[in-house]
Parts: sequence; structure tokens; C-alpha cells
Amino acid sequence: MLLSKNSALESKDNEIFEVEESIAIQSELIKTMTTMVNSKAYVNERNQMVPEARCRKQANYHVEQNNKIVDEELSDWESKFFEVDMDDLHELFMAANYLEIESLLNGVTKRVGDFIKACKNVEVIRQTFGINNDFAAQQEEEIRKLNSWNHI
Amino acid sequence: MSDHNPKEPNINSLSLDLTQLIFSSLPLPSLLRASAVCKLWNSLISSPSFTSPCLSYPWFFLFGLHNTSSRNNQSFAFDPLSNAWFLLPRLDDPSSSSAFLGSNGFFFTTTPNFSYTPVLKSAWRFTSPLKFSRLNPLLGVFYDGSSGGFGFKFIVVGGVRFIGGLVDIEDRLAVEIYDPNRDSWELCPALPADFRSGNSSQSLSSALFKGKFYVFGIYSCFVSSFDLRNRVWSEVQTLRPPGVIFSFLIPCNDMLVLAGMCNAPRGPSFNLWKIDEITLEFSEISIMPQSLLHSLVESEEDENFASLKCVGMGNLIYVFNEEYHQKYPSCLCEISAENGKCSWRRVPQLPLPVNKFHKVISFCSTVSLSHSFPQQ
Repeated sequence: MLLSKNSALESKDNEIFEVEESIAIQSELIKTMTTMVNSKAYVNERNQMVPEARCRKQANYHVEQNNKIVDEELSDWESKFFEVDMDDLHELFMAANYLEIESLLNGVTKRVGDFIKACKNVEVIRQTFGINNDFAAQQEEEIRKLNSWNHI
Repeated sequence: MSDHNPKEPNINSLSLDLTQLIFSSLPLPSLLRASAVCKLWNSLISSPSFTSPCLSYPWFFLFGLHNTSSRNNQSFAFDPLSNAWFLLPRLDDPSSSSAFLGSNGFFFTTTPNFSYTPVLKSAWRFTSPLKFSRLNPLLGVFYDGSSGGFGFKFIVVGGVRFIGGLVDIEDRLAVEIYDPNRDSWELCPALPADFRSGNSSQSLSSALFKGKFYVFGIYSCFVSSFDLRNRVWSEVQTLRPPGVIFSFLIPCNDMLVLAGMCNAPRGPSFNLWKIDEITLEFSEISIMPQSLLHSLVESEEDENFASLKCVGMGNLIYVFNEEYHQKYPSCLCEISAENGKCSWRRVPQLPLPVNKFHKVISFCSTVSLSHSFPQQ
């Protein structure tokens, strides 16, 4: 049974979440949809990137965010929230982008940026993100020369 | 459990916008590393449409010159965002001279030939000769919106005449402005006589601000500005808040700042004042914490403060000691763009070993990505 202040969100794998409306509309996408369809919103099949666990996590994200008023607590909680592996981050990214939740997007962006910053050199970045080196030898040499001071 | 195929990187399946969003949070050194990872990342970062707020933080450059043995020269660059120093490779400037300067975006040598290269790159270009070749002038780089391949111009002020190895101190040298599109120098009125040109970059501080090139006497407190459009000097005035011993003029984002040593009743202090560029009225905006000030000098005797120097631009002001004893310690003040609040912090030590230099040249400059990519 739905309380009038709540929205029901259905994810791709048919799980229904009850989320307080004020939290649900932090997603720009849902906000737009709820203005169209009273108090229920159906997230349709485009949402294949947001399986159940992710939706739940996001709902939690917002609940917690609203609860944590003190800055320190919030940033502590946020660092823990984002302390997940690359695959999870990727899913969070896709979800935040699709659902258009700016604060979540910023958080994930920063986390991935931190990953890159922590890599001491280019090879470590490649390993962390599973990227192949597709430069020609000469190009790579040129880049290395230009950035020798950077210990690339 | 994920269905991530190791051969298909997750991060690369993000849209280009999102990937660029990630890159725009990286300080320059990490950004350059990222650009060397693969072709896709390289093209995203070197794209003209890529912008990042991280690139607006000015770096602090310290060049140490040795009189007799240029092998002992060292150049360092400090990135305030990664809070790290970098030892720069030998710059092999064409003159191998001590006539080395830097100003926003470029390194220069002024004598016996005038040449320049973008910061952090060794791509020296000679210009046609200055009408008056000179040592230690003040140098500025400005953009006047002129058309042509190069959007910038150089302004050279003061300095000492250098003819065949002899230095002529009395000469008041004309200001010269360089247009790289024409490879020519334009002569303009010389710095007013109130300033003793002499060893210009040692006793004068300059600031490019709102279309004017300000010259300020570090000890004399004289100030005058050169209007870059009308090519005229303003009248010479004095800018000396009470108690100031020596000070430097800094072009910050929205305001001119005077930074200098002050004799206060409670003891020497290093202060910052906001300067109204029209009326030259000053108002104090910050005082360096005493503990930080004392950490920059060997002991608290007055003469030790005399070797403090200051450069800055944008939202950062750097203060450092040009005496070797503590390996050139420095600190910085960040002026918040939101609320104008000043916060001071120590800059980490230079990477050892640090040689003893006869002369230390310092300047502030932003570093742009185009400096770090091969010419298109």
C-alpha cells in the first residue's frame, strides 16, 4: 500500500521500490516523469543498467544524505559509499547518468578521478581500468619525451 | 557478479561526456598521464573543447642559477593542486645565459638575443632583435584581441643596457612591445624616471591587470601603470600602507593585491592588502600566520626577512625565501573565489638535492595543456 507521499519505482528486473517523493525527485528524470503521472512513476525498459541492487543503493544514498546534516559525517559516509570496485562504480555511473542525479554523478566522478590520481604512472592506469595501449611506438615516445618531468 | 569482459574496459563504455567529466577533476600531472594511456583518452584531453577548472590554478616556478657552473642550475615547478614539486629537465635555452625570465605562459631569454618558449616545453623561438637589448627587464604577456595567428604580445620594460658585456646603468630604456604576427618590436615611452631602472626585476615588481601593466618599486613604493591600448604611463604615485618595509604588487583575479613585510608594534609581519586600482586605496585582507612566517626564515632577526620574495596571480600568492640556508622554503595563500577568504599553508620542500644558487628567479604561471602536446 502506498502512502501518498511516496513514489513507487519499478526497475528493469521488476522490483518495486517505495521511495519518499522528495528523494525520488532528486533524480531529474523521475522528477520530469512524476509531473506527468501523478504519484507513480514507472521506470521503463531503458533502465537495463539499473538492476535492483543499484536502485536500492541509490534510494539509500538519498535517505542517508538527507539524514546526515553534519558535513563531516556526510563526507565520511560518502567515502564509504563510494569505496566499491570499478564494476560497481561503473554501474553507479550509468545509473546516476540515466536518472540524472547530479550529486551522485559528482561523487562517482570524483571517486574515479581519485583512482586515476592514485596511479603512479600510465601503466598502472591501464591495469586499473583494463585499457590496452593502442599507441604507435613513435607516438608513445613523443608523448613520453614531452612529459619527462612528470615521470609518466 | 559482473559480466565484465576483461577485454572490454568498463570505463571506455562510458559516454565521452562522462569521461571528460572525470578528466576535468584531475590536476595537470594526472591529466597528462591520462592522456598517455590510449588514443581515445588522448583525443578527449587534447580536444580544444576540453576545459577544466584545475587548469586555472597558477603554478610556482623557481629557477636557480649558478654563476660559474651552469651544470648546477636547477629548475623547479610547483603544482598547487597535486601539492607537488617537479624537477624540470634542463631547458637548454639557446643563450645558456643567466638572462632568464618567465611570465605568464612563457620562458624567456632577453640577451644577447630575445627568445621565448611555452612554459614546460623546449621549443625556443628567436624574435627579431630588440631595439635595446637588455638584462633583467620586467616582462609581461598580454592578449589584446588582435587578429592573426598569435593572439598574444610581449611587453618589455626597463632593464639595463647590455652592450658587449658592459652594463650601462644610467640609460632609461624605451618600453618595447613585440607582435609575433609581424615579428616586430614597437617602441613606446620609457618607464618614468622616478623609478631607477637599474636591476629591474630585482627592485621592481610588475602586474598585468585590467589592460594595464603596473610597475611597482619594491622598496620605493612608487607605482605607475602603462595603458596597453593607449601606450601611455600614468602619473607616478606612492603606495605605502603604514609600516611597510618592502612589498610586491600581485594581479589577482578580481583585484590588485599588495603583499609585503610590515613593521607592526607586535613585531614583523607579512600582510596582504586589497588595492583599488583607480584610487590606490588599500585595505588589509590578511596577515600571514606568525608561525608560518617564522618557518620561512632562519631566525627572527629583521635582516632575515629581507630575503623574502613574493609572486602570484589568479587566486594564489606565493611567498618564499631566496636564501639557500633552508633550501628555499615557501608558502602560499589561496584567496577563495567564493568569499574572498585567505587561507595560508606551507608549500612542501623542494625535492632534494637542491644546489646553492647565486640567483633565484621566480614567477607564477598557469600551465595550459597545449604546452604539453606536440604541435598540431
